[in-house]
Amino acid sequence: MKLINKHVEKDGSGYVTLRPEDDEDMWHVYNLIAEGDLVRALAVRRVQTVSNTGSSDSYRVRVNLTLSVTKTTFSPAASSSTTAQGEKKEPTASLQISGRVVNENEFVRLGAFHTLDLEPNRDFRLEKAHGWDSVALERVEEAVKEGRGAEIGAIVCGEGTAAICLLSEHMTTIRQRIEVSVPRKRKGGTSGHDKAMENFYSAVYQAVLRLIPYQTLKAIVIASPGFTRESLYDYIFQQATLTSNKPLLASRSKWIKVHSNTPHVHSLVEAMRAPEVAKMLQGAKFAREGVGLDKFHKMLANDELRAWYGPEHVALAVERGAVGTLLISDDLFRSSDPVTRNKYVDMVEAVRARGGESLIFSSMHESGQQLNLLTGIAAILTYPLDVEMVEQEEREEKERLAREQGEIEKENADGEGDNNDDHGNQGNA
Amino acid sequence: MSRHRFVRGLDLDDVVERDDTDDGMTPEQQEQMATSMPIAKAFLKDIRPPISDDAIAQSLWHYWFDVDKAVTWLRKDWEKKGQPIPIELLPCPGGPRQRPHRPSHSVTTSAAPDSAMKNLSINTTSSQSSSSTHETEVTPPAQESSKPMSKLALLAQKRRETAQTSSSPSFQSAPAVNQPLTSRPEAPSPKPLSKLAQKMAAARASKTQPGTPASDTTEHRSAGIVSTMMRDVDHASHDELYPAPGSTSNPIMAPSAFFNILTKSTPASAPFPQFTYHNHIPTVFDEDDLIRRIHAAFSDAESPDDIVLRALSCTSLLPVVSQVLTFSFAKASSPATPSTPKSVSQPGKPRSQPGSLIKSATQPGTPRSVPKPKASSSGNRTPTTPGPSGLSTARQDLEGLHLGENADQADLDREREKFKEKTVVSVKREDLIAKVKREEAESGKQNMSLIVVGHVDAGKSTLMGRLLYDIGELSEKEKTANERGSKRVGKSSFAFAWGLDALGDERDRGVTIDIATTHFSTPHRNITLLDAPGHRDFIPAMISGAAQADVALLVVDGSPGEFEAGFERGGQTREHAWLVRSLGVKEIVVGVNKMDLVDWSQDRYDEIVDSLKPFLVSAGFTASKTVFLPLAAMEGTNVLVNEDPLLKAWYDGPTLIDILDKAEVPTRPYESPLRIPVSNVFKGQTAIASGVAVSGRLCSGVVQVGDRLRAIPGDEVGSVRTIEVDDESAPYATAGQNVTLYLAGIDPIHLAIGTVLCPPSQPVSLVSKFTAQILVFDLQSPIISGTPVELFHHSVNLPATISKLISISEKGQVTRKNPRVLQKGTTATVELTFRPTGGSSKVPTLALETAAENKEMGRVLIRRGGETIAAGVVMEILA
Repeated sequence: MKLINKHVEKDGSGYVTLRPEDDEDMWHVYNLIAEGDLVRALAVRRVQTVSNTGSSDSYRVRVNLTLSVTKTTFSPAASSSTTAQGEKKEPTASLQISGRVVNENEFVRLGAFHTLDLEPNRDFRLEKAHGWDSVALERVEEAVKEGRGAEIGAIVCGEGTAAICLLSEHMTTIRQRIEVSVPRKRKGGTSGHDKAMENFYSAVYQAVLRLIPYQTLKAIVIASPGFTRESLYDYIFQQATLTSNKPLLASRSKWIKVHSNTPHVHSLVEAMRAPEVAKMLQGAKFAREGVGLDKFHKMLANDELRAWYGPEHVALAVERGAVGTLLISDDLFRSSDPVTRNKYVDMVEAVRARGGESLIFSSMHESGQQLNLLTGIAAILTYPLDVEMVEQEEREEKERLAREQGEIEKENADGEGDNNDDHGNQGNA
Repeated sequence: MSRHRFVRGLDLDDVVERDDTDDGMTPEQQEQMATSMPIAKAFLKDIRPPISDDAIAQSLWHYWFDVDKAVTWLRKDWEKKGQPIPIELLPCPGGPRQRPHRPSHSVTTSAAPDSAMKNLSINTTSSQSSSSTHETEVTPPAQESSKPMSKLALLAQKRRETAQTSSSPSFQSAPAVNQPLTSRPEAPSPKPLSKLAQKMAAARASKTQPGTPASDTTEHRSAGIVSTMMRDVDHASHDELYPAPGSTSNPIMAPSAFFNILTKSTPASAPFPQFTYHNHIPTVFDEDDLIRRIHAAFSDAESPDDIVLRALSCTSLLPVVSQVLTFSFAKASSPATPSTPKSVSQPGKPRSQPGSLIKSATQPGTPRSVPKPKASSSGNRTPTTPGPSGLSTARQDLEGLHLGENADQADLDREREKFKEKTVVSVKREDLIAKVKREEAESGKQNMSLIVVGHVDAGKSTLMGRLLYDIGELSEKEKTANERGSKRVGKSSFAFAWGLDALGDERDRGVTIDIATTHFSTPHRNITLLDAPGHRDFIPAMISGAAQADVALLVVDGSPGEFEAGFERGGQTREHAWLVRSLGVKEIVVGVNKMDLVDWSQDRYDEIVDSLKPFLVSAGFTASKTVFLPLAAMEGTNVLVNEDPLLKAWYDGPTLIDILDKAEVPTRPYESPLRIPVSNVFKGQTAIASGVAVSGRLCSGVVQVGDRLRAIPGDEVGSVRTIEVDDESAPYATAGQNVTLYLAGIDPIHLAIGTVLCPPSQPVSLVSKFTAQILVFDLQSPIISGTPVELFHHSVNLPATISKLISISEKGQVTRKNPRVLQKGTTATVELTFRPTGGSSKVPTLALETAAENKEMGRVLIRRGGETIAAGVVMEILA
């Protein structure tokens, strides 16, 4: 993504002009635009005119429109027509923004609805309705960072199933799923099994050629339980040798075989944690996310009191300044309710202010999805805190506050009475 | 003048009146007749019995007084008599002129185009009338019989004639009665004659039969019947009337016409029409009447038929007949007994098999009791009788005769059905269940599935290979091939394991990857053997196998350090034990393998037993049901026999096979609806059948060939073509058996590993969200709500989430609601939801049932990150 223009005041008002370039940029934009924001972008508007005689005429105009966003829709890698080997593919993710037009022009009336498709390589201007907060600004910063992120390919497979994925800093896209029914071993002949496995390998090989830009990727990971990864790796390079596919053979050093416990896509997290992959990724964001989640689980096992999850509990921990690492999913920031979003933004800022670490998980990654399952927010505390005790204290605190409030009110009421009395007294006096 | 016109103009009465007087002839014609008649008579003089003048005159008239032609025709006619003469042959066999019958005919046709039927009747009546006089003189039976008998007599006459012409032309007037009685030098006499003789004998036998209260009237009638019958019998093939030598005792399946005659006891009960009925459809009869008659006829009969009867009643073919016959032959003695049934066979005996006199002589005891219609005998031949080919030809013959036209079509159908039923016996489900239970109780041999589990390289496959080899399931040839093969790749110690590890990868790497299924039997058990992989990566396969098992054999490595490696955290010994227990295996046998490596040290053995025992008890196995034994798979010690002196010194317990033979088999839920979780789908050929096949274990219910099954998930229904149990085709399979079903009418794309087959009327529910009661195992990090897991159910595993922690309970009491985490060892109720598999929003579903509905369909295992974290049972289905 390119930052074309940025004009943000101290108070958060102002606008940013951006030019998205690829799928991931679309994802960033999707995360940036919230309900109520103003988006100005080039749109194609169908204009209908009715003449005096009653004949209607319609034509399309390209016009810059400013919308007050009511809805955004993101679909990752909807379809792909890229066939070029090893070339950088065209963006396939699409982002649609619906809203009311706020700036009237000669074609469109004020308040008319419009849905625009945000296109890659075309500028748009975004103005936040509730001002630019730190999380949003951070997102912009991240998005425009040059040469960001490692892109890697991954094949998670088992006997007869494979998922071919592409991972970027903020997204995991499953390009293809391959399922071949493989008969299992039987007494008296394993030819059915062998034949089906051969079919399976060849299907995966074809998919690899089509979908994995192995020349530009940093690494390609084959993860599987058992021996499937070995067999698949052997098959791919045997085929490459047979067809003298030079680029593929040249990429051999990028291929990593990793153990995973299941052939399901969620084993990607496991695969990304593997030391040989982590080394390749050199602290890429999604690797950090995976590590953070793993740490949380370990902490949960070792010291239950230091691993908290759930918005309320984490909020309490943040309040007490106990959070060392905050794990939060970007899902939560997409909340349509600005108050909720602000709450989370405040939490992130509070943790950072105390020197803690805030990891914003991309829900487009497997790790982010797993975090979403754990309510989307979790925290590793710097010191143990008993949730129940805290809750108890909170309750007491609340009661105390309520009591105080009651007392104050009472006092006020009394005061008023007193005042009246005073008045009376004064009056009397 | 056209004679047609002439005839047409005739007054019928007038014609009949003038019939005798030959008035229709012109004077010249009369003159011609007078001259040619004596000539013709002279020519026909040798024919016996003499042809009546009328007939000669008739033919002469017919041939325009051409004596030669008339004589030839008359001769021919005589030879043919007794059979219905086709109309075209009747008056003018290719005759020179088309002419209506002269008024001289006994019954005149007034119009030229006679119907075939009419002609037929004309023919028969005329032949009867013309021949009856002669017959009465010649054949004694005919003498006694009155008019209806004449046709039989006619037939007999005709037969005799043909016999005469064939054997000796000069042999003219031997009475039919004498023929059989005279010892005949020409033993292989022509069949037609003997047939006749047989019939005659039968007829007479019936007469003389003391047991039969045959009255004259009945005799009359039966004689008449014989005449009508004869025609049918003539059509029938000879072998039906002449039972093959040695099989004279063909069972009486149904009363033939002769049978009816023979056993005719109550004239009133069998009016004439009924005869034709019996005659045509041998298997259809009035049961009571038959019983009565058979009883009367064979009151003291002893016949080899009863062997057949017994066989018959066993096969339960023709149930009615068998019932009847068993009743009537209740007193029948062994077929070997030489005493002949007095009633029937004695008078008939000498004539019984004229065609094979010598043979019949050697078998004096063979009762020629009743001539059997072949269709009936075909149904239940004894092994000694001609095979089914004769049967079917006989059947075809019968059908060719259109005898069934008058018969009840339903009965015919039923008869046909019986032949089909031999191959496919479709029984009602309740009956089948009852039968299975009975058979199980009788044979005392129960089906059992055994899973072999244990840490990787404990020697599971080798032990099983050895067991199969010792027991004879693995042939010497295969064994040597495996030995050679494994030696070649430098893994000679895997020789026995190769018997089960058939996949290329498995052999290359020396690791079992997938379950190997095979079977063997011990004296009291039919055992399906499931050899599980020990490697932790292949636990899904092991679970798939364990879900099909009743009994587990846990193999532990006794060699130094190895047992510990498998038993410590991360070893599969523990996990496997938990897994099999939570999948419903209650009985476990622990084989301490590789004891030869520690020189059969009892200390080592005890050490292992001591450390395993408490663990197994904690895993939920009853101590009393847990058996330990030392083994050496490579040597085969203590597998089948214990011959090692070192081991014998301190161990005298049972060998592995002994233990397996006594293993307890759980009761099977036969009555529950059928459930077959598919563990393998393949398309291929085996010795049994080819096509789409699925393997799996019947969790409950019964299945038989022809059943329609629905594959869930999906809306496809297929039917069972063949059932393969233990490499053999079976008509049905019951809960607890591992089967391969060959399906018809379903495309293999609708079948996958994890599909559940069930009756279309009682499908399994498809579930995407449910609650389960789980027991949490040893785990690295506790379960919190939202924990991503893999859910294992039979052969499938799906990504799922523990979406809600509902409660923790202890000893059945809920101790805490909405817990935050589940630590190890807790029992909890949780809510599980399947996860959409990345990208697609479609939530996967699984065919599940609650444990209350079906125990085996309600068991799930929960794994995470390569370790089994919990096992549970489905409590409630939510979505």
